[in-house]
Amino acid sequence: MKPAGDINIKNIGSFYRDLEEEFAGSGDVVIDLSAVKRIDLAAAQVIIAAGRKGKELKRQIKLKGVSPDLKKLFAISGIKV
Amino acid sequence: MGEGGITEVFLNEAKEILVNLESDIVTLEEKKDDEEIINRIFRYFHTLKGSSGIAGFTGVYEFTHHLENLFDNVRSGEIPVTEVIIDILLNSLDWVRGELFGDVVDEKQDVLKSEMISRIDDIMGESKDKPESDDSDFLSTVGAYSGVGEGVRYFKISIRFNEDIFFSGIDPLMIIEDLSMLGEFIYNRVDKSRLPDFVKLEPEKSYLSWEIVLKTEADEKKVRDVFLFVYEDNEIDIENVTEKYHGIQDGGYVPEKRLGELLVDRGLLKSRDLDEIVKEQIKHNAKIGDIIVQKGLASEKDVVEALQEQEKIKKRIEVSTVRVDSGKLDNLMNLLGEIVIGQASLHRIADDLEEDMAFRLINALYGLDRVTREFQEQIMSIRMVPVGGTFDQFRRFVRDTAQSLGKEIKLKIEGGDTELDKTVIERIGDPLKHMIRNAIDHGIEPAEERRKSSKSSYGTVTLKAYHQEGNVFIDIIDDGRGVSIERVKSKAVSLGMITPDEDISKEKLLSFLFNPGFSTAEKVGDLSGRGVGMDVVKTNIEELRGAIEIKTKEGEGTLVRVKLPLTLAIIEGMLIRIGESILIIPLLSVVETIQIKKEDYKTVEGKGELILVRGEYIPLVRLNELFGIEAEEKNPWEALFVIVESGSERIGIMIDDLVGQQQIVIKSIDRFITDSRAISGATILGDGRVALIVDIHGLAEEMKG
Repeated sequence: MKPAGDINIKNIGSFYRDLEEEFAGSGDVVIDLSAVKRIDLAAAQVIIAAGRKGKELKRQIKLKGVSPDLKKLFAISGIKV
Repeated sequence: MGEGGITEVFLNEAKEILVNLESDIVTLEEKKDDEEIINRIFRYFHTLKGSSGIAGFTGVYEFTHHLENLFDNVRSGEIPVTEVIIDILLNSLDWVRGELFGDVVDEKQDVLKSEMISRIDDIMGESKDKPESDDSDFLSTVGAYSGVGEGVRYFKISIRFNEDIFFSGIDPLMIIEDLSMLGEFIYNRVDKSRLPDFVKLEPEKSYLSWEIVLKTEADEKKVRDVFLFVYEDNEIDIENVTEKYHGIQDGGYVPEKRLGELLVDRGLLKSRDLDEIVKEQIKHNAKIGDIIVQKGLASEKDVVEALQEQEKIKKRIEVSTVRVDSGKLDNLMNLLGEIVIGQASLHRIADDLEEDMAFRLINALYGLDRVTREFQEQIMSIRMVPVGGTFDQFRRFVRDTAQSLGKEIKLKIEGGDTELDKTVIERIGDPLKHMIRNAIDHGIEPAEERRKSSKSSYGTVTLKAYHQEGNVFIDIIDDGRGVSIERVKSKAVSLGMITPDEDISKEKLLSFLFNPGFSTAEKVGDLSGRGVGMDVVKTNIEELRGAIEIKTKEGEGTLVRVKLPLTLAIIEGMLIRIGESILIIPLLSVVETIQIKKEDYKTVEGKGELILVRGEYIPLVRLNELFGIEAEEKNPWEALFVIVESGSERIGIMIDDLVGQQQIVIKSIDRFITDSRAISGATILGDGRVALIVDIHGLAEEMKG
């Protein structure tokens, strides 16, 4: 999946549902973040929860195209890239 | 969360931020090096950017991003604060305001936006072209600044946000990011234990919490400021743990030394001295202010002023963080009103009881009265808002108006922390603006004219608020040319209000300025001087049950004094009886109550009935005729008089009897009941009867016809 723009409380519902759909399929879940400028805490939490679910299902969640700005936000939300 | 909810929260927040920003930017123009203001402006832009992004105002988000960048450079000292920067910032605010609150899509907005962005880019480009100074980077790399003296501090910060924080339009991550910008997280543990499994996750709730140790050169206040908007409903714990990390055991460091810091900031104390004082403070367990004074390092006055500033800062933070739905306060006030009415009716019952029972009931009621009064004071204090916020809004207005008229004007604000009822504050803005405009347009002379009369080239408009005798006074003072009494007089003559040889006091002449259509301006300016205005101002002030007067000295200046009640909901009233009816006169307007002799009464053609009170004939008013009720006393020398005051005029109201004095809860009445200006509302008495409240200013107006 390749979200674009900002992922935040306004569109978190659709981001969450897109991830749900990804889980419905098979194989690793790749989130291409190269077109994402910023995330908020809601987005970070969904990514963390998705990571846990991936572990359970023995499927990897791969974060691609993470910009330095996003990396910083991930770091302060406790997400290891 | 519904988008409407976020948008509404954001717009409310943005409105507040824009007002604060405007005031701070105009102040910055005068205090170009004030770091506190610079930092605050930066934070406002940062917040505005973040929130506008969340609320989906992408245009504003992108634009404020430019502003934030620009101001980051100002903050770091790379770009100096100049007139150009101030101009860009103010114009940019106009653009943001237009985007968020404008009614129509306006082409000018696009032009303004491109112009501002290109000006910002130009400035940023220039600053990048400059060779970097060689003192900072190198020294920082080799660690010359780390751990120097008191600079480096460590704070342990525990943060647990309320689950519903997103509903208030705040992104917790942005707050943590702001915190990280103050220094370095040497420890960051994110507790994810409350985060549910993916399937059970409610993405719009906040689940994470943090334990952070921040290494920073910022002081505790700056760290706390990051959480300014979230202290209320979230668990934020900030502990200064510098000692632990520095291993300082000798008491050389004290986390709370703000008073000292304030004195250092003011240049009254050296950092070196402060260290010594802090050591002494720990040793003797004395107050830091006392030690400073004892050592002669600063005067007692300086310490007191610093303490006052500290108090003000605290107050400002509190004021800006408490948010209460004003509707709830109105409800509380109404409910309290009902309690007051209930009490009055219990007092009434006590009158009909036998002595013993009456005594017991009245005793119990005294206690209740005391509590109710205190309760009322508390509710009123919640409704009280410092007038400073309203005053600050005029900084921009004065600047722009002065510029457009080519005048140099400074706005001086005094007593901004004087508090007034929220409703009064909301309704005082427009009248004040009008009076300030008058002061600038008619009062202050152009620079050249001022110099000729040996005045400073710039004029000063002062806004001053203060408490006196249970009222709040607001003075609008200008050091301009004053009002020409001669011109007022000739205008009054030309309008047929007076005859040329009539002996008339200066006060009376000045009160003509409040008459509709009365203007002494030689030519009509763009801003004022159309003869409409001061009458509207007066009506507005009187609707707030206030009063207004003008004092002036030609060549020296003018003072317009507005007197306002502390609250609009409850007043002290004098109960009077005319026939069977009970009426209420606001105690504030009452001068005295008297009886007159037969010879002190006379009728004058064209002026009606007059009575002689303390050497002056004043008009007599028969409320029974005005309101169509039956009075017992027909002859003035057999009746009682309540002498009331409206502006500089006195009136004698003829009554049958005085009933008493009590707190009156004002209930508004619809205009279809009466369109008389002499009635301002009604109240319910203890026995359930309705009593009308007399509006003294309205009564004076009605008498004039």
